Amino acid sequence: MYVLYTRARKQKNRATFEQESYTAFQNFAVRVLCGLRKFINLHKSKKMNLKTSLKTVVSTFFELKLPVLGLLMLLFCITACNEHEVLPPSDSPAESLESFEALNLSAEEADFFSDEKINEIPHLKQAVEQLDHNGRGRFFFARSVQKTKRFVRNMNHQMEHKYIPHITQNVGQPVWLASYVAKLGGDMMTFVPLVPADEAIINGVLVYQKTDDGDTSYSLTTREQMASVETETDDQNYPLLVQMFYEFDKQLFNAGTEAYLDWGVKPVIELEDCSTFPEYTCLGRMTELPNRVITLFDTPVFDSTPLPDFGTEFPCYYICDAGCTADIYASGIADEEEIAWINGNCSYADVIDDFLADNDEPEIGQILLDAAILGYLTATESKRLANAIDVYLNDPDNANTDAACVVQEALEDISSIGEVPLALMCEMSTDLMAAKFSADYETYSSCNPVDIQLIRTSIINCQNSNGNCLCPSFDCILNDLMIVEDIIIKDESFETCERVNCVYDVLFDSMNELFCSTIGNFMESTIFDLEFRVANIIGDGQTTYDEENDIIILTISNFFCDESESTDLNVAATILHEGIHAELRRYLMDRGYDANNVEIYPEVWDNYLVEWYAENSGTTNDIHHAIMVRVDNYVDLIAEALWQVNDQVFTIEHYKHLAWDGLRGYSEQYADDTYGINTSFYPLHQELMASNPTLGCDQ
Amino acid sequence: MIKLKILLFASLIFGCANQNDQQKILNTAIEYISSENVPFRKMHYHNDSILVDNQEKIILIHPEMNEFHFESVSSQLEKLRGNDNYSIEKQSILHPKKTTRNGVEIRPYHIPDDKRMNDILFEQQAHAVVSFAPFIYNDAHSEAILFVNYACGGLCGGIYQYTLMKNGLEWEIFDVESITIY
Repeated sequence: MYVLYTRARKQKNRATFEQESYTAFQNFAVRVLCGLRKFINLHKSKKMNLKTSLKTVVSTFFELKLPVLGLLMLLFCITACNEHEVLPPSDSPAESLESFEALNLSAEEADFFSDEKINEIPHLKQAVEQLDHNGRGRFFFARSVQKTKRFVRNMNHQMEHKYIPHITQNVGQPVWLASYVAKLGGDMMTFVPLVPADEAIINGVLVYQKTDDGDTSYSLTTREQMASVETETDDQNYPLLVQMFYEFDKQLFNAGTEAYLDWGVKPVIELEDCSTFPEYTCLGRMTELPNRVITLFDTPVFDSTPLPDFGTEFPCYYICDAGCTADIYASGIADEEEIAWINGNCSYADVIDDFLADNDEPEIGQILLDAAILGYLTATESKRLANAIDVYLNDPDNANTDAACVVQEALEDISSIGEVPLALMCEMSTDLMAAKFSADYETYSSCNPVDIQLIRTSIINCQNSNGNCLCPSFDCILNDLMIVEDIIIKDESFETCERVNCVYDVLFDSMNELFCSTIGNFMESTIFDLEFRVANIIGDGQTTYDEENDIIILTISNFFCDESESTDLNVAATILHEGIHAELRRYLMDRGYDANNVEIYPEVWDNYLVEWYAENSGTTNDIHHAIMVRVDNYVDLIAEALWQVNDQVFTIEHYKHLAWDGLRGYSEQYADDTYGINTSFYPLHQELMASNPTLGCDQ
Repeated sequence: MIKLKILLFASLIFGCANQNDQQKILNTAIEYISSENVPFRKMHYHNDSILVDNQEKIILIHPEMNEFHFESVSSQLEKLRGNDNYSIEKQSILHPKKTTRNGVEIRPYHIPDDKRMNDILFEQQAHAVVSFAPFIYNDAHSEAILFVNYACGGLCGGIYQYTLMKNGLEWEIFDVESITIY
């Protein structure tokens, strides 16, 4: 399994499940209440609740001397009312609030979505306290903000938990209570200001729109993006965002118009056949409304201090039409949340759509999309990069290189260092790239610890793509293991067991495919660490999870510390086997799944045996092993890895007896051969053992 | 003196009751292991269909409750131990009897420290080895938590947390959670 930068697209995330089950609940409630709908509608107009309405109906039946019907209705009423109370309508603010708070939020997410967080920002606390959240719009306000939070959380999961850290680190903390919410018939639109911890300024505005039909659009615009517009822009939402930045800055920090006058005069270039807006999303002039809900969007309800010289037309909120999204949709790279983002970012969408129309490179399209969502590049920079990649792909000299890897590496390093690697400069020798990024090889040679982790990930990528990418800092980073030890922790028990520690180091230095794509993935995970221990256990190795500290613990038997009772290959096989367990767990948890819940496994790994175990055995132990055998063929990968670290002595087949250890019960072929002594691999294994194989750790 | 005798008698009764509970819990756990743990059973995978035969297998039960085999989950044990509502069983000797359950032969076996699991299973021609941590009860003695270490190979099996509830005089397994994977 090779999963590093490019995200698995076809797998549902937890948030989607929750939405689906939530929708299923809603459908169920609708069905239960179907027969009562007429009465509900009837009595809604009289502002009566369902119970009262049904009581009225029942008593009417009795009055009409129809006791049987009355009793039936009474029974129906009891059931339906109970259901109604358990499952309130989807637009109930209480339900919405509870369901969001009930989500299993990480500490990082809880902080991000908290309204209390602003108390830690002194210059903001007082300003928010002065905002009026009372009045009849407050429920709509709360519900709309919660929907926005839910969307951002889904987006975070979709982006492998990188999205929220990106916002907090590079933009600021959302001030949810200072949001504006627009009520547009059945549609809603939320504007949320973002404020950095150390500065009294609006540093970003988040916009989320959801229509009555379920269509969504979303954008997050930073002050840097706004300020980077030089003479003109093709962002159709730019004028509206100027107004919003100004309005929030004025309200929260008493800012004047100075900064915004310059922004306001930049002309907007229309995109060809790409963006559109419904009439009602055109904003009136701003005012300080009570309860933060804008109810009359197309009339001048904001008019206290409009920006001068801003023109007479109201700015509007644009969404993208098929002209700038058709090729993106056709490529299949965008999931639900990303489609919302594309809808709200027409200028980016246009660039990626054009690129995909000219190049059948969905993986690069996805990287461009990720980079755009994470704010690595402005729309103009995206366009330059897309053009450069286009030139690169059309160069016959680059026909055999892994273009996606080159682009990926470049973008990762842009995000961490602000420079582009020398390798990319050499391979993508275009004037556009050269003009934009001045490559500086020395940046890498200095081994800045902050940057090493990302560069290291790139190196692993490069190793896995047959070395098509050049990695100038490889030696430098290999010599600096400090950063790796922060992410992959060696317990004292592990380090003092010299033999096991030594085998681990041999595997680490080998950087073989299996090691990189399992244990190596922890170098990339921003959430989970991996800890190695040695302990007295009755098996060879175990993997467990320390929930309190978000650490996956890989324990190797202390039996292996005694070199005379086993071979180095036994230890290596155990570390690789347990590394796969750790990676399966990390893979799920990084995506918000509960890895202890057997029911989610068949959703992620579509295999009949995985499904059967989920239904019949109920243990993750069986399911993990079934995945290892039936889905990803880890047996061959383990055998190959052992063969590689043992200097490719004999053949890969010689190592398969070791690789099958613990897994035979899950194969059709070896299910009845518990000890594996009747397989064709056993004589080969004996031949291997007779050669006294060593990795240099048993002396 | 009479009071002392009563106390002695009560403690004997209580001790017997504890031991009786312990044996019942052990029996329930073994029953569950022999019937529910799929890897004990012979599996046939063919054309997307799976057949399970309860053919004769051997499970070895370590006769002492111990913490040595549970070092990797010591933090979970500590957490339960620190809970005021739970107390840990002091009795350390189990009495697994040689018997056959659900076509599986149960046999007491003391796990040696100096042998790899694969070698043990091969030597004993057994399918799995099971070891128990000291039982943990709630104050009312109506709930028990049992850590079960089940190894069907050096890299097969795991540690499970069984939660049992007392129903009348019998104990029933309420929940099984996987704590570690081999």
